[in-house]
Amino acid sequence: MTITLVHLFPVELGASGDSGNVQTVAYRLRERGFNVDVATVAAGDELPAAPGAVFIGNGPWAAAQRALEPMAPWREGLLGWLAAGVPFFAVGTGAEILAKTITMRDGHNVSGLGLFPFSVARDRERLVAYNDCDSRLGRIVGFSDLSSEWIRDDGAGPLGIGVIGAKRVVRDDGVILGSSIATQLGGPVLALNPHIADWLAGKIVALAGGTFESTPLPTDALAENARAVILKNMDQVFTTIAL
Amino acid sequence: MRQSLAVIIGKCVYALTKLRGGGSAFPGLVALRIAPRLLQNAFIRLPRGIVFVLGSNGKSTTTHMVSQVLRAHGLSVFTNPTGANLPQGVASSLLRQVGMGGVIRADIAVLEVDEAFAVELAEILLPRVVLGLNTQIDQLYRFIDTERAGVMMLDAMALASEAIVTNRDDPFLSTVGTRGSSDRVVAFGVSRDVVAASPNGLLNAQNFSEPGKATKLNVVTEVTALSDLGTTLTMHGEQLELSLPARGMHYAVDAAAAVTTVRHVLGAEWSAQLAAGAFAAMKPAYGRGEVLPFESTDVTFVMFKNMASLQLNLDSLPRETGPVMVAIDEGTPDMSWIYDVRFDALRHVDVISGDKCWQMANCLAMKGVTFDLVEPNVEKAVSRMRELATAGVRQTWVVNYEITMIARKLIGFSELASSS
Repeated sequence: MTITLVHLFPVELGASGDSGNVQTVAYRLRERGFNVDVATVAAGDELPAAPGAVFIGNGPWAAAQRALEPMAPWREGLLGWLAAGVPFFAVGTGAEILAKTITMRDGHNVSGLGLFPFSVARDRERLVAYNDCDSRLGRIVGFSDLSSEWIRDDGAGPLGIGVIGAKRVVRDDGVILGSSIATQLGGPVLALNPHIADWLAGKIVALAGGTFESTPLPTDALAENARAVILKNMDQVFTTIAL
Repeated sequence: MRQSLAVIIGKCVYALTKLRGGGSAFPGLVALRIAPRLLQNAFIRLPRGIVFVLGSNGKSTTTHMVSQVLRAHGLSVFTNPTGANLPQGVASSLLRQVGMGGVIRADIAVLEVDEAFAVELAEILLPRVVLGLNTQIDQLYRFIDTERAGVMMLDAMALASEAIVTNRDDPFLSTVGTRGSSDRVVAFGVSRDVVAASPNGLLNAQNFSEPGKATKLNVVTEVTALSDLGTTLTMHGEQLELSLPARGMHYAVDAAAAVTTVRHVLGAEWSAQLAAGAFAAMKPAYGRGEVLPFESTDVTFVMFKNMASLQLNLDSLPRETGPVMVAIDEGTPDMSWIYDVRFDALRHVDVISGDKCWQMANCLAMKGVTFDLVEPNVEKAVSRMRELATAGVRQTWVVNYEITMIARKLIGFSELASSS
């Protein structure tokens, strides 16, 4: 069985080490004996026929807007994949363009693809810090660079509740929709939290009709130690410029 | 009066911080509190004005190159040491080098300046020439996105009173001519052949807001060949052979930028021979390809700051790296970009160290790079490298800025960075 991981706009939306999320899932599937291909898809490309999962990452808003336009013709196809249970893992601005509406700082609205049940207000005060998130899939430790608020539709649940930085600011994070996750957590978050990567890998293999067992891997201890260091350094202050 | 008071107190604070083993910007901060116009007053009597060096990567190296080539032409140069590129850092450098009157006695000042403070400093110091090196993905936790940093540099470049030196191959900085200052712009670049021979190219950031906006530029210097520790620059049809202080295309780009800048500053006084002599005698800037003795052998410090600098340095490593240490700590707050780096040049790493060693090890393991030891404590890691020292087999330490300082000290080089 060969699983195709589709990575949308890796050049435009890859500023936060987002390829690390794809690499992590690919690594964990390969280590369990599955063949994995990574198909990068950008403007003008055809969508692959049978995706195992879809990844989209974070990038500057100008780049997200550049990605949004050529994605419009793909909307029906992407909705079909989502309905069929293909897992999506979307981060930051890549997730925002898959949402319904994005309201910019100057008040004007940009229509997203409407795949995920939330809207975005890109007007929040900037918050950059480590994040200790109590999620529906277990504890997630990552890095947050937040400047927008995600407003979920009624009935759509967050991925989790994060406690962020030295001031321990409490914020909901992301959206979980069936087998798919949209999140504002960076890190890259799947590399730091292999249990979430395995949750996705399990969904991917199940969709393909296979059986997945989340067996321990040698890198698990490395990720666990990395998370422990982040938790120890939760008070780290990230010097930033104002929006 | 206030200027002298600030300098005297600042010098005392500097002496105290040095006693404590520090090299911080704190003395400069104190002096600026006492005399807010400290910098304006200090830089007022420079006959040849001030040159600013801006960029995501290469500021320290290029500042060093510009300074050394100017010195080779007989000029006295004031400059700030590597990393001291915020206003308080420039003030601290000043305290170390200035007399009690607080006025710099030099022919010219060459200052590396942080992107976020470039406009502020340009407005008070009125640089004659501003050199923009590159816009690469850097410190996104700080700058939000690369475009912000690019715009900050473009805004500061526009404040140059005489000339703007820019990078033709940078999608952001090459647009400087569209901001109403095209007649003052001179440019440098790299030939297509040289870029094509580099495994991962120049790694300048893409301009997603205004793709293809680059203006037609007067390119006076082009990197047309690259050898192990040397480069050929073509200037106005003439070739200039230079040796480089460290390996890599990025150092050739810095050399092209430096030579373009100095040639403009000196005009008819420019001597290609003196410039070549300066490069031949040039040592690497702090940690940037610096080779230091270590036990029975020596070690090359390969310092990185972000994805582009790590990749460009890895791309230029020699085939035989000897024992390798990779180390990173909280001085690099967000290291998610390591997943975008191709580590093909490192087949095996002996020791991974620093607070963030586990994240690095996790990434390298998934990329198939093998390693022997993960040791958060840098002192212990260096001890392990000591055990691996073999006469004649140079080691390679790939480290961020903060660990460069720690590791240099551990092997007996406690001198702070200096571009003099």
